[in-house]
Amino acid sequence: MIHYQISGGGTKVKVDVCVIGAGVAGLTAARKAAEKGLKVLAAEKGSGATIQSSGVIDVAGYLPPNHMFTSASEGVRTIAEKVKNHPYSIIGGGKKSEPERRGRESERNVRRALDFFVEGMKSVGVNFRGSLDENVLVTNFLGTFKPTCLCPSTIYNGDLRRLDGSSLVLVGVKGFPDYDSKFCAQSLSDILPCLGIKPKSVSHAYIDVPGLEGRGDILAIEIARKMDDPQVLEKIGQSLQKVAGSAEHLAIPTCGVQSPEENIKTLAEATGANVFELASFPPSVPGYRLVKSLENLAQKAGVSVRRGYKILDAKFDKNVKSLRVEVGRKIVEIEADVYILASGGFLGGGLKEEKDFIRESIFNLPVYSSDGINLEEVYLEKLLSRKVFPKGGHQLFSCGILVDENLQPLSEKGEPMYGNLYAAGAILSGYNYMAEKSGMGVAIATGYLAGLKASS
Amino acid sequence: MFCLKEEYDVIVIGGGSSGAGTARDCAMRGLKTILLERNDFGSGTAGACAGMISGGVKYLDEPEMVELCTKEVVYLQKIAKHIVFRLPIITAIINEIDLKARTSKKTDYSKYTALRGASPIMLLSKEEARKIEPKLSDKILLAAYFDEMFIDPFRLCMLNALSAKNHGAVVRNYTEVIDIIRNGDRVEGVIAKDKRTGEVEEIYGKFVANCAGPWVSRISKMAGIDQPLRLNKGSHVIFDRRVTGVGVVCRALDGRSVYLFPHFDTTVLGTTAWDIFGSPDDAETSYDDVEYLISSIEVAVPSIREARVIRTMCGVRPMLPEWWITEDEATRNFKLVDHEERDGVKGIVSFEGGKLVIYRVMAEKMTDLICKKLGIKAECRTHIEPLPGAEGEVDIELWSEEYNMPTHTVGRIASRHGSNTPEVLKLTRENPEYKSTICRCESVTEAEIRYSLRNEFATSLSDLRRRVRLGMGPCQSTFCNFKALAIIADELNLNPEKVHKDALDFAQERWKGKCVLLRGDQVSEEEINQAIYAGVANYDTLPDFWRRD
Amino acid sequence: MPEKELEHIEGIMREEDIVLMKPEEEETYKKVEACQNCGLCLVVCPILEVLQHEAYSGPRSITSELSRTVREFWKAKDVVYYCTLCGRCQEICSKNVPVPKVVSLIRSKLFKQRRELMPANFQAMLENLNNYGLAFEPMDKEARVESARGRLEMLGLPYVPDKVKSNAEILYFPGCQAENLLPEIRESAKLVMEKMGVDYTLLPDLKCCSLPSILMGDSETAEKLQKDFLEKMRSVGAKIVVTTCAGCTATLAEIRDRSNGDFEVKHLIEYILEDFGKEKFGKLVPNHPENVSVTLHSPCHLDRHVGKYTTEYAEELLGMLPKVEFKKLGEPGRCCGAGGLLNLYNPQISREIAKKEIEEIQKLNVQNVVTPCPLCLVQIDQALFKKKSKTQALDYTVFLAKRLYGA
Repeated sequence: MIHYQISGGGTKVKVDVCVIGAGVAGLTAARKAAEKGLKVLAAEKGSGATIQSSGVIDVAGYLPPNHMFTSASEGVRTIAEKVKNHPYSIIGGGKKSEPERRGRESERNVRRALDFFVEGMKSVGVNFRGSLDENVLVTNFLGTFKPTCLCPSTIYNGDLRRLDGSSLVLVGVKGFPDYDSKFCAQSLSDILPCLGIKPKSVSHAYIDVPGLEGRGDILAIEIARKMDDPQVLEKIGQSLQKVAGSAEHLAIPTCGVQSPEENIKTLAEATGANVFELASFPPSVPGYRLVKSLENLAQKAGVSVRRGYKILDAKFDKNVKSLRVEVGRKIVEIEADVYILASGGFLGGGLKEEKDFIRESIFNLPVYSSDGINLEEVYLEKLLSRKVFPKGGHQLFSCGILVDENLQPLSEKGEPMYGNLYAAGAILSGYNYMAEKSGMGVAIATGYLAGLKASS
Repeated sequence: MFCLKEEYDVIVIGGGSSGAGTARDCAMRGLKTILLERNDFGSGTAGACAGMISGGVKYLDEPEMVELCTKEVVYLQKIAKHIVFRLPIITAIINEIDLKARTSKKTDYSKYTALRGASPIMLLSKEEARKIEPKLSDKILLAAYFDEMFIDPFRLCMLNALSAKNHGAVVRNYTEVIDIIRNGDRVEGVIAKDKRTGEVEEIYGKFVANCAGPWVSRISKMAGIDQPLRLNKGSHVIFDRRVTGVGVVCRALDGRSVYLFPHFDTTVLGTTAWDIFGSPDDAETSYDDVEYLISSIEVAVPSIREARVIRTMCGVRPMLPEWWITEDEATRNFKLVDHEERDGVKGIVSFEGGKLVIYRVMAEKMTDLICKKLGIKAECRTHIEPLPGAEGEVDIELWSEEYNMPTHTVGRIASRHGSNTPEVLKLTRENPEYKSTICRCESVTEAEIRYSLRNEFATSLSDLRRRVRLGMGPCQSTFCNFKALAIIADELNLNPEKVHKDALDFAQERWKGKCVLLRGDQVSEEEINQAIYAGVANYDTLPDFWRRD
Repeated sequence: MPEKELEHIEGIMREEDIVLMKPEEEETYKKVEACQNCGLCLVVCPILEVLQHEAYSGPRSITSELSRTVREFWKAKDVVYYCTLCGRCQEICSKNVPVPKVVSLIRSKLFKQRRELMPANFQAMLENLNNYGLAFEPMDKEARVESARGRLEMLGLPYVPDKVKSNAEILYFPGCQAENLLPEIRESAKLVMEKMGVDYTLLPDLKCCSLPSILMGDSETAEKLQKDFLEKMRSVGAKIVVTTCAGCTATLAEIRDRSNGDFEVKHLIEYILEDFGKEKFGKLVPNHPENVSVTLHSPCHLDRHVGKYTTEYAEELLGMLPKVEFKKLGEPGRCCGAGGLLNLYNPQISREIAKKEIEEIQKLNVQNVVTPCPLCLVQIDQALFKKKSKTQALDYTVFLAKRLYGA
């Protein structure tokens, strides 16, 4: 519970650690900081990028423009060694460190952080599978693919390499416009051979979801809720059985929101096939599950997670003294000993456009491009490529604040701006999570470290 | 290469307003007609305008022009009633300089407004103007009120082409004329390339109607004719929602005029006028264009900077080659060029200049000329016969109940398909899943998409944008791209590589308009766009991936 | 310009369905532009848990489709009355798009343009508000007092007569429901304030806070009621308005903000913790003879429209009462389903939404569920009754009074 201290001067909340942002970076940092028994508050205005994510944990998929990593460990090491200003490089020791040493240190930190994540998720009943030593190839509603590192077991079952020499049926629901199994199957059939995977057959089918027959505009969450109903799930199992034939693998668009793993198990038993969930587009059910699980986990660890808290600005001298927060109609002051800025990119609200320039929303920290150029007077449009999805992504989405090896935001002079401020996640400059397929990995690794540093 | 031995009466080049209009008139008068458009109908100049079909208020110095425009507006209100809407407009007189510069014009516009059922021009005080449009700055001096009609230019072009087809014409988009077949002093036909199949063919015709707009010169050159035009680029900025309730016009920073017009559920701010000397294909909106427009309208509507910019667009005006006068001073009237008369080359006629509002009379004149030369006596009926969708009445509430679909959705479909709406809604009877809304911003359902793919010459996502406004809302296709592409794959039986490429092209086209001016909420929208298509679907590496050895 | 001409222009605007907006509506209209069309709101919308997306296109449709053009508002009639204005969408939205405000905006335009499209089952309440300035037909004073006494007796609470002063520090605003239908809430508030010994007054001629008028889209009546309230406030000269209804709190607070009033609006819970003081209040509470286990249903209008801290306050206050075991709901923050006049528009859907909250409540096996909102109370009470549940629903203020007076 949060205790409000009401006095003539206003309403105050006093905590040990205040984390700004409750996405994957913020909640990881908060849980790590709470390990030592500190009072931690994670304040969230609404949501950011994590809840929109497809459900998988990208760590290091590509070194743009063309190199796909076969393992995230290779990816993290390579990036740490070669890509200046990348968060992986920074958590490996930064410029001061030798490249190879940086790579190893970074990999170690990422491993530790991911273990923390996986163990935590397990303790709330969500099993993530995969390893840093081997990237997984997953497909999505459109039937394309991407490399990723960890997946919830429901999606991990769909590692494309398992399809070699076996049959897959992509199962869709008529009236669910986000995903057409026919097109997905066609697309996947064409793509798999390019990946060196030769399935026996890739076909598609449609089933009815009891209660959603004859519908249009079906939402993924509607299908997921139906799947959580055991009676409906049984009927779906029967339908899947009918369309599965002798296929070893079945792909479904979602497997539930309350009990996804049990549901998949039930369907697998009913069909005798490997049933898996596809990586999805917003509004993403696996993304929503991920955030809910992270919140649950953080709360169990004693973190107060609060949505509806909008950080306006901060009071500071050499340190951050307090934050002014809008809670509904009230302005509340949050006083903490340490602050962790995990406010996200543009979607999360950590960065914003103001009169054509990019600004950091709360502390007005200096914003840099990935090659270290101060963006105070650089027009936003200069950071865009002519191609809509360029290799390496737009520079715009790799800009953010600079931090030192302790994850403390730097001033223009290159020194930590405030003694008690740390940062993690998409607010950081130096990486493009869309092009590298590295978003969750950076967020979890920097969140873990920020939480560690903040609590020590 | 193969030859189409049969000869057409008319080969119309260009599927903009004048070309499609000409094809329609020719077909309606019984001429054997073929219409060739190198991209998609309305994808050229017609689609880059604000859609105003003005009664001529800008050309009060040319009384014949005003009369012509007024007549045409009356016709369009009848034959295209479902895609025409009226907009009240306030011209704000922003300061003393502006007030002094307003001199009296030759024509009394009020005489003409009554003819087309519009309101007379009325003078308003500052307070009265602000009562009608509260967003107007309190620093304006005076204002004038008038109203004008607006039209959906994309559907106008396509509906003319459709009407031409219904009257027996062959209508082809994505077919580019790459050469003219000239025999001595006579043009005999064209060589056209189907851009989708790559096939090249010879098409023979008694007349070639060169209605290629800014590209008229390029086509004429193929016939060995030198036909210089004055090419003038105009840019617009498009905002989400109706920033103002009515249209606002005011004096621009450089003494020209800028306008802010609500257009369905967006707002269009325009326009600039820069002469260009390169290819019209390369015309782009610049940052300066955009800032000029916004800074100009800001004087009349100060809150414009708070509005959400969704994209920019630009088009090229094919003006008559009159120089040493400003674009404002130049006439908007058109010239019908009989190249036999002018250049001694038989069998080819073309347009120079023109405006969207007079497209029909332009087409009429061209068809008259061609008919005269062919010795055919047939009356023009394009002003009488309604375009598809304008034939009957619209009853949104009835249809909403009959087909069990939300009133709002049926309303949006009706604003595009008019009395043809039941044909669209019918598709949901056999396939209820077609009720799904694919583009939420513009209420585009799967039924409408399939209907358009089947009946309106649409073959790509970009075509669908022009037909049914797919992806024209604030999310600029972020959320409809992945939904619509599966529908195209199914309807057109395309292979996945082509479909993904189409999705990429669609995204690229949207990007062209966005990247000039990415601001505010559009930046986070773009983050989502990148996260979905690059981050999850891996579209940034996919093109390389498809290259198999 | 001659008046005839101005009328002509206004006529054209009506024809083209161009409707002007007031400054506060403009503000809402601007904020809704931020919608990213992501659909996250649909995942948390309580109506979509019980009604299919095809029948109710939901908050995303309201922000990205239905509110996009001022011309089209009446066509939103199929969708816009299903919303309970719970605000869960706004809460989770990355841009905090104020969907509830947009719904009110659309309903007001609908009411103005196509009055006949307003749901028929709003009609009775509309008439009450027109005739009495209250959402419910008032009882005469004697009948009210008798009903109040009777209910208090059942609760084991004493009756204190109304205090009506020409001015006081606190103006107690019970709201239509407590005034006429659930007088025990009104009486309990008096009892609590008596115990606290604070200077309060009631209004002799209470009018509705205007929320039902806003929800019906009747902005004219809403404005009249708001004016009435402000006038009364001025004459009483109170520094703070204390309410016992979540809806009244949020609505009166907004009226105060828009009028720049120099008074505050707080729910009794807020008043106790912020102004009176937690410790001081604690000293007033005797050691109650009975243990009781209780959970809290936090009303949307407090939790989201006033601020999350109201839930924290409500929990804290319960937690410090002796012999009260407070158990938090496993999934807090659900809507009871009665808001937005959904209980009138579609009572069946409204009840289905309540059922989901009841499931959560029943998991805890507590004796009481308390809620600081009469509307939520009635809804939950009915749903618990249907499920033949052992848990009893009580208004929060009534519960406080019972603990204060040992009842």
